[in-house]
Amino acid sequence: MDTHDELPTETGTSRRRLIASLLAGGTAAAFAPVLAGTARAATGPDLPKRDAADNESLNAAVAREAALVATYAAVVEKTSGADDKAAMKVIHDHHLAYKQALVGFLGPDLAPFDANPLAAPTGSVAAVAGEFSRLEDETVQIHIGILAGLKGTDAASLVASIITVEARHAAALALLSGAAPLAAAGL
Amino acid sequence: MRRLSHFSPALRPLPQPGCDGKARFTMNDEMNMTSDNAATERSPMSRRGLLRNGGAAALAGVVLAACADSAPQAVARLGEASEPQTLDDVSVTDVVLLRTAMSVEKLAHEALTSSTLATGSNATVMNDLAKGHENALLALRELVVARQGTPVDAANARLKANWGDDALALVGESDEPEADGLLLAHALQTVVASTYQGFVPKTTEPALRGQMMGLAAAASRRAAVIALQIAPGAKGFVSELGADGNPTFSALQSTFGTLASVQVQLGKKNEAGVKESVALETPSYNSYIW
Repeated sequence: MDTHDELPTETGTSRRRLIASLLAGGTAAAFAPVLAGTARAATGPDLPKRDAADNESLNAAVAREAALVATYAAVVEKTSGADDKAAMKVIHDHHLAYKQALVGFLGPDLAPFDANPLAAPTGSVAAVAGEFSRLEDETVQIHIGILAGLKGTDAASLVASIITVEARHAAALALLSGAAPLAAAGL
Repeated sequence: MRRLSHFSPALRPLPQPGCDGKARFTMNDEMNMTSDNAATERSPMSRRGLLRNGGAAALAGVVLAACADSAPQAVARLGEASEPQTLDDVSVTDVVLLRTAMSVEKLAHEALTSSTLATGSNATVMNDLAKGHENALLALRELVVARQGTPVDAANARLKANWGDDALALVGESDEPEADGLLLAHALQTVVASTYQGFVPKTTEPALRGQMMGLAAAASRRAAVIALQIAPGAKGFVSELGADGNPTFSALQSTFGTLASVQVQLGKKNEAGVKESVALETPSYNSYIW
């Protein structure tokens, strides 16, 4: 036979706890202004995240990226060396990602675009790298021009993240084509 | 009604003398006794008592606050204590961003031209790359002055203290100072580019965003050139899985420009053959030049 007394279970929200919580909350509320007074309040500008006026520029960026995808796709197909093929493939994949990101950003505001290659260079990767470096550099300048006119910060952030890597493409391809490091760095 | 004999002798009150000189109990005495008896059965901090006392204390506080002198008074204190400082409210403006960018460019320039990095076979490339930062500083100076700001001529002190000095010290004590120097130079260019990229959504003037990203593109180009000094040729474009199971170093490490900290392994290898890892962070509010 169980002779243990049943102890009353303590509820999670007893009145005593409630009072204690109210007192603690009141204390915190009373001290909040004091603590806030010693904190540095850094505020940023209130900028629009998205603006319909940017759509035309972003559609132009999509068209440029689609053309670069087509350009690199042709080169990847013709390249035989494993390292050269991998190098062209990684740049192709980057441009494909940029196109997809911009298309996704525009959504229903996407306009029809052509995806014709910008060039059809032949020969080894080292031979065509100079031409591709020029195309990359041109694309960077186009995107910087687009960025300078964008009102929405989301689109501006996306285009900025593309510019950073495309500038690397330009320099790396320039070096691959045999340019001096200083020239490849744009100095 | 309870009988008095039920109370313990210790709690039994003294009888009140009556008109006839005989002791007698009154109704009030009995009531008081009942109340006292109940008090002994309760805990010393009853809810009612807590609320009553708390309310009284709050009321007293309000009255005292209302009667207080509004003029600030010196409060006597013991020992040494610093005065609490109320910091100014600050806002991120384009000038703040440009000044901060100047401090980061200056930090990278100082590191590249230091005797630790610009040494041996790296001396020429480091000094050449430093010219890129000099060009950027000149461009930034014009942008700051055009906005009635004050140009910055010093390296970002907080970033220098957080990772700049440590990174240079590790290169200095490394068994492979030239290889580590290139790795640090690459990381510095990446941080400079990431700094501008991170400033884009905070910049109010769209045209200024374009100008900043022009400087970011220049830093990215320099980063790629250094990366291909470390891993030359087409092989250096792509990361592969190395013998140690980690991705190999490459010029095109990410598809999109990153805003994450740049991790770089520098210094002497430990017993396990691993170098110390340093995280190069882009500036945040506590390292902005306000």
